[in-house]
Amino acid sequence: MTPAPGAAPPVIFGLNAAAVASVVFVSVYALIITEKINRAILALLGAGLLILMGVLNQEAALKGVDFNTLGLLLGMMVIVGITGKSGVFQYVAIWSAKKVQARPVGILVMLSVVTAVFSALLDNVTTVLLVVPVTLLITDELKLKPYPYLVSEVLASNVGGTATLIGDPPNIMIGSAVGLSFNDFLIHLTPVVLVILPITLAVLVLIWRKELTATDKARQRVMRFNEREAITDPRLLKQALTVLALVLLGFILHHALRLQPATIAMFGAALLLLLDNLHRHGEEQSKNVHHAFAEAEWVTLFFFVGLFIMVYGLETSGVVHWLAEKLVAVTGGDFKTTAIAILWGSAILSAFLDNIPFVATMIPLIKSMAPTFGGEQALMPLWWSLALGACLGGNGTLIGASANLVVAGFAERAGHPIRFVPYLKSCFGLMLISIAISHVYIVVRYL
Amino acid sequence: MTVATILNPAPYTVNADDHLLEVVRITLEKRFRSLPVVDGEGRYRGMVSLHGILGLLLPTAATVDHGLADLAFVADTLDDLKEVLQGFVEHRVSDHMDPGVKPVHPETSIVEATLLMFRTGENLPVVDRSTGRLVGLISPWEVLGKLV
Repeated sequence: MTPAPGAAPPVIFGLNAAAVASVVFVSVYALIITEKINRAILALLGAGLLILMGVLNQEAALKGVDFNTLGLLLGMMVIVGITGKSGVFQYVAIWSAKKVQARPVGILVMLSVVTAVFSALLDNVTTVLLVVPVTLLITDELKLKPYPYLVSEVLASNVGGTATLIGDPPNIMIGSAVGLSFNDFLIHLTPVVLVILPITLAVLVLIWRKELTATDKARQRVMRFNEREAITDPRLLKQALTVLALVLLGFILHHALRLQPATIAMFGAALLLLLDNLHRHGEEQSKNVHHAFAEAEWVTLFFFVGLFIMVYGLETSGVVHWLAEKLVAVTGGDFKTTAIAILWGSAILSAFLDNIPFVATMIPLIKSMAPTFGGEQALMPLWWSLALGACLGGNGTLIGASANLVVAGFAERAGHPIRFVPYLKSCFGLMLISIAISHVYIVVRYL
Repeated sequence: MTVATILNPAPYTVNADDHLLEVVRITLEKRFRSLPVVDGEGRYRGMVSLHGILGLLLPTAATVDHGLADLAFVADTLDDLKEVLQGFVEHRVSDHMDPGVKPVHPETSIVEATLLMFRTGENLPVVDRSTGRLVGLISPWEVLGKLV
């Protein structure tokens, strides 16, 4: 392993940079898995250690941070947080439940579709945080167990998030690192998601159909909901929807506009903040802005910062290049085998591990395969394999994705806990089905 | 000056095994806001309050942390709420009391007790440190009654 030139100062005690970077990375990863210490603390500690031990200097470490990913995430978090205050998510959820005459099966399908669409266009975690409370209310009124609905929304949020550049953090990271556009994801991932989602929902309905019944009286209670009353701030709603539409248009046109997605998201956030605060003065404005920024998931953002630095340490010390060579050797240098191995490997690992550090590690690894497989353009199927595996794999277990944990936490607080093993039994097979569909899609379309 | 000098030494109490709806009736009849709950030996167990009972009428989706911010779109009638309350007919006080209301002690300063009442908006049980027995209750009436 030969360290890349330029980045690494002398390593403490003359240790091998690659060995230090690997030990720090594996230790942090192991500690993240134990869930004893918050992952942002661990990632920042790991990043700090790499600098203190001389694997990277501060300048090099900052070079490893993908500010496009951070900006896109932060901008969308602020936009969605402000939009959520208008009540639009509750409006859509109630409207969709009434559209199917409050029939339990129809509600399961509609709320899942709503979750998938919101997750594709917004942030997964925020989407489920806004849809799940309404779901609990509806199931409460229908005197139904919320479990099938909550699980279905978890699955839908991860499947929906797979469809677009901004839907799931792995896609944001891949898109940013490789320079893929919003339209690239629409063209290459949305079609397979449109197949996976209905199949997933059909299987869920088949599994739980006997439990999905409600009395006419209970259904009437839901039908009496007045969704218009859910809109708490019509002016904010108009402003937020306008900004969201502009931001989405910006994403679609960002290549033509020569703008990075982070610029579009951050500018959209700033614009919405301005509109939401124009009529406020003094302390009220300060409080409102403070609240909007506080809504962002800073733990996730700082986790990303630490992680990017650690992965950059692996990259500059030559570990990633070495791993890529090994992976190519294992797959016999066969492109098709490599693509399929990435798809299934990402899915299985992402089901049990956090898919964000996994994808952060895989990105430079796949990039360094370019010379073997005929250049960067030839790697495209590998990126789609990684995105599908990492995003859909998150559905396999309760700890596979952030949205899963958020829903589980909410359900627990509301007295309807979702346990690891029952979830695994219901959903791991469904995840495998979605990966099998992706396998066929990748082979037929690209290999 | 300490809580011991102004506490109500004989507050109305309820037993953890009492029926919840009976306690609701008493609370309404005597215009209490909250009542201390004790066990058979007079040891403090928690507080049962009208605020907590109001929470029982609401869907969990709204009362849980990060739940629904408002329920303006729900059109449930008084009869619907009555039906919800009847669902608790077999429940005991112990099922719905708040054991998290921290008591003060006879030797607690009045200013500290006033601060706690201000922060929680609740009457405070006064408990003997060594036995855990309820020895009284302190409310805004006890404090302000000594001043005005």
